[in-house]
Amino acid sequence: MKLFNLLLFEYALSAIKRRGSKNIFIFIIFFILIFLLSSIFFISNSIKKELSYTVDSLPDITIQKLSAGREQDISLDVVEKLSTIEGVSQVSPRVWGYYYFKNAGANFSVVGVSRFDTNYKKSIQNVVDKYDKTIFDKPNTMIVGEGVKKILEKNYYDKYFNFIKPNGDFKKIYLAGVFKGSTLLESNDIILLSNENAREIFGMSEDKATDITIRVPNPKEVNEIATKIRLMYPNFRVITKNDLRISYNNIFDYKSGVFLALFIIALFTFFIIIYDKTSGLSSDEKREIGVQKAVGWKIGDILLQKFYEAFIISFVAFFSALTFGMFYVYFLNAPVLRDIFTGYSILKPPFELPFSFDFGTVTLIFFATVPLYIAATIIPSWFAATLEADEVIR
Amino acid sequence: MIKVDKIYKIFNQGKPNETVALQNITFQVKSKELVLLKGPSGSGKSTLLSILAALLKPTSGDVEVDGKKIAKLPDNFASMYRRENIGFIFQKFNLIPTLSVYENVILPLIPSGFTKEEIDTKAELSMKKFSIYHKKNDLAKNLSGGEQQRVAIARALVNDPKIILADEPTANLDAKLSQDFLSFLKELKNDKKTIVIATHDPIFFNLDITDREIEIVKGVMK
Amino acid sequence: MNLLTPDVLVILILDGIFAFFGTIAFFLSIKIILKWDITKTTTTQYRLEKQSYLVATIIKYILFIKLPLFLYFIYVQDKLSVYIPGAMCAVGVVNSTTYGFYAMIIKIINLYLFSSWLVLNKVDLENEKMPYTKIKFIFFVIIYIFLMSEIVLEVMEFFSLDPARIVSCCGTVFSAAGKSTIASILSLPNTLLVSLFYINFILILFAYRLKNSVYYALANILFVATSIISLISFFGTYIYELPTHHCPFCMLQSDYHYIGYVLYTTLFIGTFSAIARYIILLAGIKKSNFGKISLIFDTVYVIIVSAYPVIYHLKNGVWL
Repeated sequence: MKLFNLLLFEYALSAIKRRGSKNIFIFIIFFILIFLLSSIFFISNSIKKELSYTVDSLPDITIQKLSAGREQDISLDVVEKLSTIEGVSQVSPRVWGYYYFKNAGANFSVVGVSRFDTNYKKSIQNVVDKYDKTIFDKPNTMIVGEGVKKILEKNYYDKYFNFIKPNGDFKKIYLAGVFKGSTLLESNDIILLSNENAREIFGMSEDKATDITIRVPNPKEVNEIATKIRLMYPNFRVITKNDLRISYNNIFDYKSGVFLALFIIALFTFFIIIYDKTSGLSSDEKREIGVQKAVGWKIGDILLQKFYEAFIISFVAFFSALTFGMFYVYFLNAPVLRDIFTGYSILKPPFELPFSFDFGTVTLIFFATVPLYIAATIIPSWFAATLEADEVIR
Repeated sequence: MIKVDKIYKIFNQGKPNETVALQNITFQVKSKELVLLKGPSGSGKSTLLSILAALLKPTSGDVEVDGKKIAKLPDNFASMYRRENIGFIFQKFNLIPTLSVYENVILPLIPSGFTKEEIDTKAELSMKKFSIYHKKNDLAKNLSGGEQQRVAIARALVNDPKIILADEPTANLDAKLSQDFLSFLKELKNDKKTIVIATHDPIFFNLDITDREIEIVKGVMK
Repeated sequence: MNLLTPDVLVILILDGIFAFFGTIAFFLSIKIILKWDITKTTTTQYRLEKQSYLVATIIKYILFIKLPLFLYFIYVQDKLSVYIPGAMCAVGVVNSTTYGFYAMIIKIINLYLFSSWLVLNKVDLENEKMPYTKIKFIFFVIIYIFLMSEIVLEVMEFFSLDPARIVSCCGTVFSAAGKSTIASILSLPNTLLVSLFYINFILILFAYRLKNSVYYALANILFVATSIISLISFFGTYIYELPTHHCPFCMLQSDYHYIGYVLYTTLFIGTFSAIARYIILLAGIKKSNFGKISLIFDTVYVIIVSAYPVIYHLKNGVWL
């Protein structure tokens, strides 16, 4: 019992070529489906990876004061009490906020840095260390991310920028430098300046801060300490790094959920198309099958041929679409599709998608597509193989 | 060798367009005989031929070939029987136009599991016998009528069948090609094949190589 | 409900396809059981003959997708384990719901059932009279029930996974302290379980020698159980080199050189071939290669699985 008939396989291959236009149509549809699917998975895998880098660099615990459900400036006198909690290694008040630049329709993240307190984010701390003299020695200077620089330039601000304070006055801040963050997702729209200037721009008093971050060296103690703080200050919102990780992932998954719903509809449509296209047999095709049967092909032989045809088309489409998807995502950085995930904002970070190849994802894409294709050809193939030869060869 | 026993074939049985194609057909073809099924078009000759090839199942009755009943075999057995014993020559040649001569000729052999070498040998033998070997890589659609005819015959003979069935083999041929076909027929008779030809072309009537002529009119034997 | 990750969704979609085509096959099977008569020459009979090919094609399709899907299913369960507290691998996930364990068992049974059907089908088609057609389709009706049970259980398992509930992982599921039925079997002393395994294998050898296909098939079916039990309780611990690690799935991972795949595949081929041989024999065909294949694969399994403790002992001078 010969397990594999090469000649039959070759015949299937030639049959595909001979029915060129129909097969190319199916091939292209299938290709597009897999391409879109794999691109979306690759992008989302990359972004998840990016985000996990980001989350890692977030503070262990963040404390905000809430009043009437809204965030309010927090008073600095709680800092001392928090420092006394066991397990806490550092308590850092932060001054930061969003500044809306009306003309450009862009939101900047304005982050205050101080000379003496270490900033939670290593990247920001590096920048501070690098530019130390300029921010603190020369008054009224700032360092901005690349995206900010571009926008300022577009709006003819070259060496300085005029912030509008809450009371309507202008505050001129000079541009001392441009930096790149280690994770591009986050840092593109950031402006760094001294805490004093930040307070001035936001109209915040000296004894207040936007929020307070706490460093807990031992990750196992984070939850305990967070609970303690919640008990100490019931009107504070206490967020741990893990909470952030979960909520990032949730936003992410929500978008994936919408996408999945669309995907199922796409699959269904695709199934119907394939079914339809493979069932419609031209008179030539029917005659060919009639001849095959007349010269002694069994129903089983024709079924096998049809299966080989489906197999070849789907596998070739699968591998080529997957490869093209990888090229599109990792080489071209997925123009257009990427925006679905990162949201629309003027300051779209031109970040590069880190390469992450996951065999599990490839298998997932395979099971989501190829069996579906082959399933769609079951009934049409059977129908073709059981044609009454007698009628078609006359 | 071929015993046709009370074959009836009714199409669309029970429906308004019910047609009785064959009624009570009974005859025998001895081994190596050449039998002519004469009759006008629509008389049921092609249907009978299909039944002899186990390509169509009768409504009742059976066909026995060398002692084996073949008319009601399940598909895979019928196909095997056909593959090993029958060479079918169709009315319109029924070559696959986009395949080469070689590929057309080997069509019956592909599912059998022969090795490439075995198939090449058989194909070469058959193509050479009918003088079409020199065109083996040409596409069928680019051949002349006569060449196509020879490919069709080469294909029918490639598996060295005992029985040749020809359905109106000269219907689409001009006089010259029809004569050519007759000479092929003589060759096949010399090769001791059992031959059944369904035709209403007078060129076949009263030939000395014909052993018997059976007339079928409106599905009934005369 | 938020555990409806894409992986789970894909498995559910495929389940949907299996259910859809399975049901088509089911209705066709009923038709064939009721009306099949090979002696008849009616259009209906000829149509039924064609339709039986459709059923066969559907079954082939389902089986061929099911085999790799089974492995994927385990992989997905493994991935889900991060969401379920206490579960460290697929075992924890499967055991976190009442349905998981039974879904797993029926899945394995179905692989054998589908494969057996295909053997029966082949045997039927090779006989001019097609004598097993009705039996074959009655068999499928039974298989259909198993198939739908598996799908229902699987769907319910996925939907009842609860990240808020803590579960046990293989350490407790398979240990003497556990309360499940598996635990009670596994709490039997290893010497007993391993002896049963080797005795079973010897029975297989005897049955082969005696050329008795019935006993051979039965011994192999039993072998499925003794192999898996002994693998979990004893041999597995030598693969992991950890006396408390009783996981049937972890050996599928790269850490252990994917040896799990080799073991399970050889076990399946070996035991299934014995069943195939019996089916073929029932059909009156004396000769088949399945007997030899079965013996070879069973032996390979025994050798590989025994090698682990032996090598461990040679390396370390002690048993775990």
